[in-house]
Amino acid sequence: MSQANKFAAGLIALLTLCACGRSERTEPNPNKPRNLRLGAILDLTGPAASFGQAQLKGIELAVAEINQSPPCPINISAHVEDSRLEARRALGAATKLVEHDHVSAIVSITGSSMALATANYFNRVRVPVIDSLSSAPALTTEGGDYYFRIQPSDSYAGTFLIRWSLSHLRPKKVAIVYADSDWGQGLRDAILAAARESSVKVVASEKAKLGQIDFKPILLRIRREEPEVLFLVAHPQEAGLVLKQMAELGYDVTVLGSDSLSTDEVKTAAAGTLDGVRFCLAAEGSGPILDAFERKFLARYGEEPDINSVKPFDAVRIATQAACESSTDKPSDIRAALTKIRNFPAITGSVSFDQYGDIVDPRYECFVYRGESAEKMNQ
Amino acid sequence: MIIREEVSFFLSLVLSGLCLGALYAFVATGYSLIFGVLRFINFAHGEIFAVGAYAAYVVWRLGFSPPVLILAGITVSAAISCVVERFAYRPLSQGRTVLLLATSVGISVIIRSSLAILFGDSFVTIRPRGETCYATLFHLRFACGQIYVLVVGATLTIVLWWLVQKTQIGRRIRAVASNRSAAESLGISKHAIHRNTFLLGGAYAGAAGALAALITELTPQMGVFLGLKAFTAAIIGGVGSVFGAFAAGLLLGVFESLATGYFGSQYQNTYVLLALVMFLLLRSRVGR
Repeated sequence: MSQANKFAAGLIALLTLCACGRSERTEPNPNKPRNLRLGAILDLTGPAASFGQAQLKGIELAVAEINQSPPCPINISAHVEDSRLEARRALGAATKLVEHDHVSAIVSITGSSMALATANYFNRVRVPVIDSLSSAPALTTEGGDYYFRIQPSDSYAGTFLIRWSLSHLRPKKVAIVYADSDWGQGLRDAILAAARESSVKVVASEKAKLGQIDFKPILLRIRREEPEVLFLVAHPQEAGLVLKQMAELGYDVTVLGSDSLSTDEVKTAAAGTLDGVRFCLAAEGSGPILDAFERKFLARYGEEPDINSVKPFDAVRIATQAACESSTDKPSDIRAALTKIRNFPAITGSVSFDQYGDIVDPRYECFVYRGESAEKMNQ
Repeated sequence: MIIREEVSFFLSLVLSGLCLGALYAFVATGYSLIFGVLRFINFAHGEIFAVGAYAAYVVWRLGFSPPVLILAGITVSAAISCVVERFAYRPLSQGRTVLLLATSVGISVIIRSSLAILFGDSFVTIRPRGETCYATLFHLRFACGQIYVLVVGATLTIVLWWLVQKTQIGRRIRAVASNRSAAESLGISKHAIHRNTFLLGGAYAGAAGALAALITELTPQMGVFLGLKAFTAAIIGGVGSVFGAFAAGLLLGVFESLATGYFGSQYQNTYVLLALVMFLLLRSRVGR
């Protein structure tokens, strides 16, 4: 055998060995747990950091718990990126999560604007999103086939706020102060539409801009119109300042807001002026499943969880369930499994998705501040 | 009764606008002073305002009262402003203006990031818990923060007039702003004037920051939002004209407040830009 032939034979033998070895490694091993990579785009250091940090805690707790007792042979890991609530950063984070971290699903995004900014991309690369916070109505249509959310749409929230105010406060005239963002505008539109249907007159609809210092001209204008209820759907910083400046003006009106009024930031910014302020938000859940979650959360973080930790916890569990049912980590298979999920026992209630990826029949709860603490109201 | 309500509404808006306008005016003064002497727009000036606010916050955390907070804001901002002038702008003062502009943008990012690292990105507030402090005069309700802004603002305005018009430092600053080479030929030290200009501009931005801290929340970005409005005021008042910028700042605050109160917040920034365009058009006509 010539030198060349010897070399060729050796090469073939080596390649054969490599091929054999490779085929052995790719053989699925039913006993070996699969790795499921989940991503999240949170605001960890931006203006909605209180939301993002709460979401992060929920995700971390879910990952730890599922890895301790997985529902199927699976090992999950979370890859979290900071958007700072900037659409450009969110899109960069989405690209990194898909192309570098190879995540199979996204389990939370902070902020409707960030979800809207990334929805097209996730649809194009076919990675499903299970969002736990974004509520802009536009996501129902613009989220695409790969977008699911366990946070109810603002169109539902707006209708709920108006209906709740009608049954508990019976206003004829209302005013709105809304955040100048996709979230705030979506909620304002929903409140306006629901008010029109219920023949409630909206006497003022004023914008609260990010970083605005002085809300007194807006409040003076609203006071002149004498609304019976003021809907305050602004981000925590601005909402806190609005409440504080209302007290400084001596303006007393029933305030009804959304989840932003439940945050610690509002409690700090509007300290001493919260008494009687009402807010409604998607239900946190109840019963043993919530008690168990609260116990684990308290043990891990030394604090009580808020709703923004509960929903990402549920989102991770739903993604894991979908991955278990699909038997693969392929994002498109997980998406297919998500469409089939019916009555998943989440902490916040049973979860099913409609044809648009919106949660079916969400539950809401309303609270009123007595001093500095919020008490649940009769629904 | 209706007339009294209308007058009260109008005066409440003016009061609110004066407080906001005082903040614009103090920051606009700094823009104008620095432009007058160095012939460039210091884009980091809004961040000097934010530094003053955070200095007040730190002093408040140590348990001091509002007058000390304001002094702290003035001192720290003036010092930072001088440091920036000495180590960032002075080495480039002989170069092209665009270099100074680019440097000022860089400085603004550095200061903003430093504040975010030191105090976090979320807002902080210095108002005491549970306090809703106010006084009533002629059916108008003044919040304590507003009273501070108006009283301290009026005092600092008089001090500014005295400093610029009656002191040697002020005369020299005006001389350099009016004719730099002639002032230098008379032996006025260019570097000393630059330092004093930044000291004065920084002190007033710091005062505005500390006063803002008494009425609103603090974020590292707060200088950007207010700086833009103050910059608009500086243009309306005529960049380089200290008292023009000051008056324009006050007017802009009142105009913004009245426009929002009567026409709503939908186009709040549009009102400000409209004021700018109207003023520029008016000035070009008068100038012709």
